[in-house]
Amino acid sequence: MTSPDRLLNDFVDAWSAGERPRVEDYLEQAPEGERDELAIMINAFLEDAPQPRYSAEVLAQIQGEPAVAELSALIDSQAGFWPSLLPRLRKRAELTRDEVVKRLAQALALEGREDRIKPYYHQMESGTIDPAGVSRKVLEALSRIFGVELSEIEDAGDFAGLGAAVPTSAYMRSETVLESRAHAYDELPAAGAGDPGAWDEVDKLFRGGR
Amino acid sequence: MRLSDNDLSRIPESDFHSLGQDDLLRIVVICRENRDRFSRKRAKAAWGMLIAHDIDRVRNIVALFRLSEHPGIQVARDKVDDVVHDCYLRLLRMLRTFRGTSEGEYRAAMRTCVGFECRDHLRREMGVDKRTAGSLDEGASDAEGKPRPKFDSNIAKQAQQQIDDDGAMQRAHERRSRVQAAIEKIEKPDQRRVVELTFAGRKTDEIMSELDTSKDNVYQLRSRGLKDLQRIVAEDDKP
Repeated sequence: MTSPDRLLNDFVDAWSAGERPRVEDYLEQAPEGERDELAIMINAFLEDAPQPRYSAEVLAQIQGEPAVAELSALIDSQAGFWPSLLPRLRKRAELTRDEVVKRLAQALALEGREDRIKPYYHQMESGTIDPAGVSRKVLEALSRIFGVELSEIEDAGDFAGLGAAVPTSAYMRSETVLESRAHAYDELPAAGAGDPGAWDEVDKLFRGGR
Repeated sequence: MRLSDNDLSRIPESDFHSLGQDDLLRIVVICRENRDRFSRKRAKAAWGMLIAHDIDRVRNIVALFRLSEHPGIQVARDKVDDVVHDCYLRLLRMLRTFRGTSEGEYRAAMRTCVGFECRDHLRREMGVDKRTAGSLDEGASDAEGKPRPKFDSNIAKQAQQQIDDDGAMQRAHERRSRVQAAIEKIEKPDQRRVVELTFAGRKTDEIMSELDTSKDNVYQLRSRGLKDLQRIVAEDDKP
C-alpha cells in the first residue's frame, strides 16, 4: 500500500504530463481507511487543475472515445442529439421502440394510430426528422415516458438550431453513428405526405412545429 | 503569446483540436455574440472540442462523486463510462445557456452540471426516482384528496428542481471565486505557493527548481496545501 500523499502527487504529476490518470487506479492503491482522504485531495486538485497540453496521439485517443466519437459526429447534425439521447433514455427505461410508440399513442390520445406514429418515432431516434417540427405535446409525452425533464429532450433537439439551418430534405443519417442500428424499421413507409394541407393529426404533431 | 480575437477568428475548425481551453472558450464567446449561421456553427464546434478535451476531468469527477445525503454511495466502476456519456450530452446542451467568459466560470458550471447528472444517476440506481412516469393510468391525490394526474405533480417537482438547479449554477460560479479566494487563505506561505504553482500548471520539477527544494518536500507541501484548501472551501460553503 502507498501513502495517500505519495499517490496524490503521482496523480498530479501524471495529470500534468497529459498521461490521463484515472482516479480509481490510485484510490485502490491506498490503505482502505485512507481512501476518502486521498479522494478529497484529488477532488481539490481537479477543482482548478489546468488542462494538460495533450500530444497529438493523446488527442486522437480522446477523439476515439465512444462518447466523444458518437457525440462529435452529431454536433453538426441537423437532428441534434436525439439519435444519441433517445435510445439511451429508452434503454434506461427498459422499453422497446414498440412499447414507446404504444405509450406515445396513449399519451397523445391516439390509440389505434401506432402504425402512423411508429415511423415518426423511428425518425426521431435515427436523426432523420427536423426537431423543430416536433410538437411540444410529443416532447412532453416522451419526457413522462422516460421520466426526465422536458428540457432534457427539448434542448437535445434544439442544439441543431444553434447551427446552420438546412431544408428538411437534407436530413441525413450520420452513418458512423447509425449504421450499427440497422433495424427492420428501415423498411417502414415514409412518414406523412409532403403537402401540409394533406397532413393528418399525427403529421401535425411530428412536423407542424411547437 | 496570446492570440488576438482576429487570429482566433481565422483558425479553421479543423485546427480546433490544437487549441487550449482558454482559446476555445474565447471562440465560443466571440461567436455567440454573432447570430449568423457561420458563427453559430463555429461556436458549436469550439464548445464540442472544449468539452471533449475535458473528458478526463469529467470522468474523474464522476468516479469521485458522492451523494451528500448518502456519502457511502458512489457511481459503480462499471457504470462510470455510461454516466460520463450522459454528462457529455448534458454539457454539450449547456452551450445554450452558458454565459460565462472565463475558464473558471466554465469549470464551475461544468462541475455543477456533472454533479446534477451523477445525482440523477445515483437516485435512479437507489430506486428513489425510478420510473417516476410510472403507468399512465396511475393517479395521485392533491392536498384536498381530489384525484390529480401524477404527471402534474412530477412536472411541478421538476420545475422546482430546475429552480434549485439554477440557484446551484449561480452558487457554482460564486464557488469558483471562493476557491481562488480560499487559496489565498492557506496559512502557510510555502504550502500556498506550491498550490498556486500546481494550479498554474507547473510540473513538480519546475516547482522544485523555483522553490529550491526537494521533490519530497514539494509533495508534502502540496498534499497539506490541498487538504487545507478543501477544508477552507468547505467552511466557506457552509450557509
